[in-house]
Amino acid sequence: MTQRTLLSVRNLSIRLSRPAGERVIVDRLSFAVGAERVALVGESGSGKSLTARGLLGLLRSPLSVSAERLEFEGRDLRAATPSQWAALRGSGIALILQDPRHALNPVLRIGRQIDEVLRIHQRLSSGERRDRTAEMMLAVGLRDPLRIARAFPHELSGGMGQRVMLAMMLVNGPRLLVADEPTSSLDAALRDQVLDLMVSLVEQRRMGLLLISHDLQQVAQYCERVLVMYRGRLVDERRAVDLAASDHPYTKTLWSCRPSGRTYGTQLPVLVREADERAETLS
Amino acid sequence: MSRARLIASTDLLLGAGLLGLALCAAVAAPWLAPFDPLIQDMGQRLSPPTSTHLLGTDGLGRDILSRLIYGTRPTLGLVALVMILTVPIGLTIGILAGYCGGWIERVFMGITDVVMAFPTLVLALAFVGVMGPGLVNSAVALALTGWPAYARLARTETLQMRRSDYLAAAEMQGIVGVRLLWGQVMPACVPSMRIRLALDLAAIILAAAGLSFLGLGIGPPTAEWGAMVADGSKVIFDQWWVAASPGAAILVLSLAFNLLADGLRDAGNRSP
Amino acid sequence: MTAIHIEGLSVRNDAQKSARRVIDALDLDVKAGETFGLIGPSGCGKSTLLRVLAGIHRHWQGKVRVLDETLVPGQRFGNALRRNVQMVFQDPYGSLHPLHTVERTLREPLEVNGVADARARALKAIEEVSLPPNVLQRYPHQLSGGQRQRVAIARALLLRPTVLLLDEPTSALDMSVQAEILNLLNRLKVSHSMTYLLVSHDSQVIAHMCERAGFMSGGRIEQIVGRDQLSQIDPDDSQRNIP
Repeated sequence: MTQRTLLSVRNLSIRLSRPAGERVIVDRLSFAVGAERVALVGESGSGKSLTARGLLGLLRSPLSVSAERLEFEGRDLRAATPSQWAALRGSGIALILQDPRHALNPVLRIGRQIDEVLRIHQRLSSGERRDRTAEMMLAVGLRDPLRIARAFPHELSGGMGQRVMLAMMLVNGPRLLVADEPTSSLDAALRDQVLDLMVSLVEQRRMGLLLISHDLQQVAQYCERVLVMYRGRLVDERRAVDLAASDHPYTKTLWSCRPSGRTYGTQLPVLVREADERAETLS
Repeated sequence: MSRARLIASTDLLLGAGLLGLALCAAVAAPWLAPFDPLIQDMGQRLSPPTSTHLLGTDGLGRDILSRLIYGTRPTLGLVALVMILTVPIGLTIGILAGYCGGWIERVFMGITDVVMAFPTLVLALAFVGVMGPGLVNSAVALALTGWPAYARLARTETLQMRRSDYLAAAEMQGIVGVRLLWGQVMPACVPSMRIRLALDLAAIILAAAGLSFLGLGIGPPTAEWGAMVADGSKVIFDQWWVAASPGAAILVLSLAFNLLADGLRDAGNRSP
Repeated sequence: MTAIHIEGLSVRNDAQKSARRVIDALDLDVKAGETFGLIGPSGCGKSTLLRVLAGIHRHWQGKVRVLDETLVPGQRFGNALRRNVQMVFQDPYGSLHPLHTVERTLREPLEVNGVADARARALKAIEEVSLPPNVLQRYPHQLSGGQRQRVAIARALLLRPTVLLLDEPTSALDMSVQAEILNLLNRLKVSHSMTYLLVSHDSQVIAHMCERAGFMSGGRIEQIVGRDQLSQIDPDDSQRNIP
């Protein structure tokens, strides 16, 4: 089966313009994502979250995106207008964020929010929308869709919130799901559950997944290909199965720095950082 | 520079600039004012703006421009006095209420609510009526009615902080009591206070002008904008400039404080 | 020697009698010099337990002895205990006062406790956690998450505590930064001869750091395991939770 390319990126750069001058935050990224599971891995400050937002046209001045090629399903996105982006987001590409509470409107009930997302992108009767909503909620493992549809976001636990977000983002049948650290705010116990769910949904619907994370071993478990970013650049690209054997120093350290029962009593391998490295928070 | 930043700095600059102008006028009044504000010249009374009297003269022949310039002194003086009295009272009550909780909080907040329920100007009038008119009494009266808002702000900020880890950490280091409240809690209350203050200053000027208008503020013959508006209102249909100039000055200074508040808030938003 | 001895500890959310019991009849002994782990789901009471031992949560009943001193419910710690028991909080964004420089954050505890030459001690504290001296002039928002946590650790060590309570110290950090912080904690434990009580929801962190660990659920410790079981916790296991 030939895999169609969903997202094609060539020399994508993100710049920050400040009074003191321009700074390149993401430097000439090139990669492609098909109907497969790809991970974008890097530490805080590597630019991976900005990249995710750049891919969805969500960055505003003073941040700016430039690329030689930025195509989704063959369409050139570089010159897309805001209304074209709005039409694309949710129905073509979907974005899931770290904290579901930030994505959900706190004063509207869940059912209403999912309904709204359906109304924006599709022409369906209210009955059809109700059915789709219920169907989607069951698909993400929410067993009591009626009760949850009437609930407000603050009444949900972290794991349920993330499932609701998934439902909202997938209900319009996008072809690519971009997930930005979707499990970082969850307990270790829930992380696997949510990722399992995400992966199974993506496979069922033959979608592409771009998973953004700082946890190399986690993505190795769930993705087929891994892109490693460091300080705005793509430094390594491997199949997940080859990660353990990577000879790139950054990847090697990132892979082996995880603690476990076997590393007790040892000092974990760490990265040698540049002397004056500090994270710059961009708000 | 991004648009938002440009706008914010414009607000701040304009507000600060106008305020600076007023301060200069207050300090340099003897040199800036063309005439003595108290000298009466009945032959020239109620004359329109001319090259000698740039803003005309009032009912007693006094130069309006000079009175305007000298008028910055009592106005700014009053504002400063009110500020010095209001903020510490509000902060103390609010922080103590927020931090101690329990019956202290209930009592303090109860008092705050009662004082807040009174209309500010009416209460100020009552105080001044009892204490007598004058700059200091006006300031005290306005301060006694103005502190509740600050107390509530301070209490809210303190309540939010009470759960924070850095307060718990400070406690673990042995930082307790007054040192804790002064060094850790109070700085967190300052940003919202600043903005509220800048806004309130505009209201204070208007309140002071109101008191003067009713004859209960700073007494004659001192040049004070509110009193000048009061005098001018008697002849407003024929000699409109007598009231218009001080009125415009009040407007501009209030605007300056509002712009300052906006600019500070925007600047504050950017710093983490 | 027992560093921490707890018998029949019950903790409510606040002072009211009707408040929910977060911890219920808990028993625990932590040996001097060991790293004891506490693992459990959210809401099981592990953070509350730390706060009781830290002296910041004072509504509790039962018997607690820390370093041979008996704790009294409702009372703040005395001076000696205050110095000997310190805590590293979870959120590096929330545990440093946003409006104070690092230097102020480190000097103030020293000055309050009458330690001489606070500035030099603050500098030394920074060096101990492998941070450059220019960090002293920075504000928390100018530091990365890992740097902030190092400052939090430096602060906790200022008064040379014997017991260090760690509330999910690396949960908010990247995997690679977590490795650095865990290494640092292990080094410091040896050089300062401390006892650690480490709370985490991550079994891998517990397995790496601890000699023994207790599983908390519903306000109690259900089970205590030692190295034989901990050493079997492996990242390759798909089941990350211990049964």
